[in-house]
Amino acid sequence: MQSTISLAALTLLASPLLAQVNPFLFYPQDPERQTVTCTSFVGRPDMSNAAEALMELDTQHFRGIGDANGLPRLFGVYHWLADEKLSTVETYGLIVRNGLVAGTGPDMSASAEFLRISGLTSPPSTNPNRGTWIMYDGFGITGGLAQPLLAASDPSVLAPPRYYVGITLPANPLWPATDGHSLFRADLLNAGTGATLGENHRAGAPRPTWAGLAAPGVSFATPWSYILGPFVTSPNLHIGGNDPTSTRLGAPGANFSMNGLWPDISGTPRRDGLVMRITDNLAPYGVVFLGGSVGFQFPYYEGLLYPTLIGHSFLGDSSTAVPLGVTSLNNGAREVTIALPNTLSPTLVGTNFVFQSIVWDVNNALAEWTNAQVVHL
Amino acid sequence: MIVELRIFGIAAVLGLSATWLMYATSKQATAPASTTAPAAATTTAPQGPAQQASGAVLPAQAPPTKTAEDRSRQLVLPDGSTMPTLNDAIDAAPLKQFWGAFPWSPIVGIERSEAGLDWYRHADGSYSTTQMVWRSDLGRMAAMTRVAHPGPTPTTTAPAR
Repeated sequence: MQSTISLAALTLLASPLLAQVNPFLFYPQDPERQTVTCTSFVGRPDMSNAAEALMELDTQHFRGIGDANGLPRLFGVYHWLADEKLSTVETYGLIVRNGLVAGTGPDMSASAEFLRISGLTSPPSTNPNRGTWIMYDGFGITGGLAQPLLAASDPSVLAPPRYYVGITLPANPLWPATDGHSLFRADLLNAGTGATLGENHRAGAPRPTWAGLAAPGVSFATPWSYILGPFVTSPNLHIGGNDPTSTRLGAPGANFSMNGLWPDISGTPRRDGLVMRITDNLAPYGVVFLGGSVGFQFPYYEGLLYPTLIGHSFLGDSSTAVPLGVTSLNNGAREVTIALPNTLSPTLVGTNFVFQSIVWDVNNALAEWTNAQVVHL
Repeated sequence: MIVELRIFGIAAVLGLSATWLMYATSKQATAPASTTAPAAATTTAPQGPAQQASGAVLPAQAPPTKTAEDRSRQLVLPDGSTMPTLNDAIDAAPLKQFWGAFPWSPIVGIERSEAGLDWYRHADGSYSTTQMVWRSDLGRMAAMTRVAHPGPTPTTTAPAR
């Protein structure tokens, strides 16, 4: 039955209705719709050495990313390419790879590669100065990456337990002095880089990205997030943390990456608020059904709604999922306050809440589950 | 709020999908079917020659007439018109899929990069291209559709570790 549903989903996803994609990012601000003020630096995963800049997608934190009815499906990679000298072409590649079984980072062996595309280059330019290209490197709707991800999936989470999406960077001794490709990044509080802008999270939060190195056993986690992520056709949901005592965002608002995943409600002194943000380029004025649950639930597929509702609930069924309201997207985004700052009790520390939504495109009567995200209180 | 959520979680009688099912059923009974016809796939002539950039600069040319059966070398633009795919790409995804949340900007020329790749230059300074790449997951060459929009000037370079 699962394979039948997946094939049908592929047919749906190949239809012209799905005319755009959404980048699934993990960064304090939404680079597609917000002015990015939180960037700490532009940097490379391992300075001027060859390395893969890898975003970690861990099912302990996110599930249902690009869920095509049980088949995780990616359509390309989005990233901001910072170039120290635009007039010289930069060469890079795209990589999607599995994690080590032990859960200790990316598996850098060739057999763990779900996808490798090499030899991509930046656009032409006569500008000899520093600059940025916002790169949309698309595989195409009918050519998405699916089967390798499915083959490595854990049926209880409908994805590989932990996998990595990234950019491969060749060694470049000219970086950063005169030339070279780097990425926008937001540093963690404990990165030790002196960054005044960047991520904001509670103490002890794990590092979200990796420097993938070819030699076995030498890859290392990096203390920052990147403007980098895979394209999906499902809508996205991110939880933001709202810490009014912090200026690391560089602007008012919530931090939709580390602060949402690892908020501080300890009361010593922070008691962060929570905000849910739903985004979708495919149904920019879609109707949104908000929900939550205590912890992730086993994936639930509502067969009565096939093929109109795509994806799975990770909130469970009606016995565990809690409807939290109905709203609508406005130009592709909507933020909903879950809890104001200083309202969550420190007694909730250690609790995991999960949030997920449905976005319904009323123009084509097609609805999709967003990804689900946990909040580790 | 979170405490309430947990309490309601135990007592909830409706799941999200059930809520949506009821809502959708009631709406679908009254919502008109979409009557939007797909945009005609006409050919848009280029606006003019490209500005000088790196490499060779060529004026964008109107594509040769194609039979209705073979559109494998045509790139569908967000406005519904088509242009030839670049770099001998076959079956490239429509440009709209990867144009992003930017206003559409027409093609004004073709530029060849130092790497020998042809790119469409757009009026707003964006570039787009198609190219064949080796797909390790498919075990064959496949087309990519790529877009590059100008972004903000990069922030400070990271300090050495």
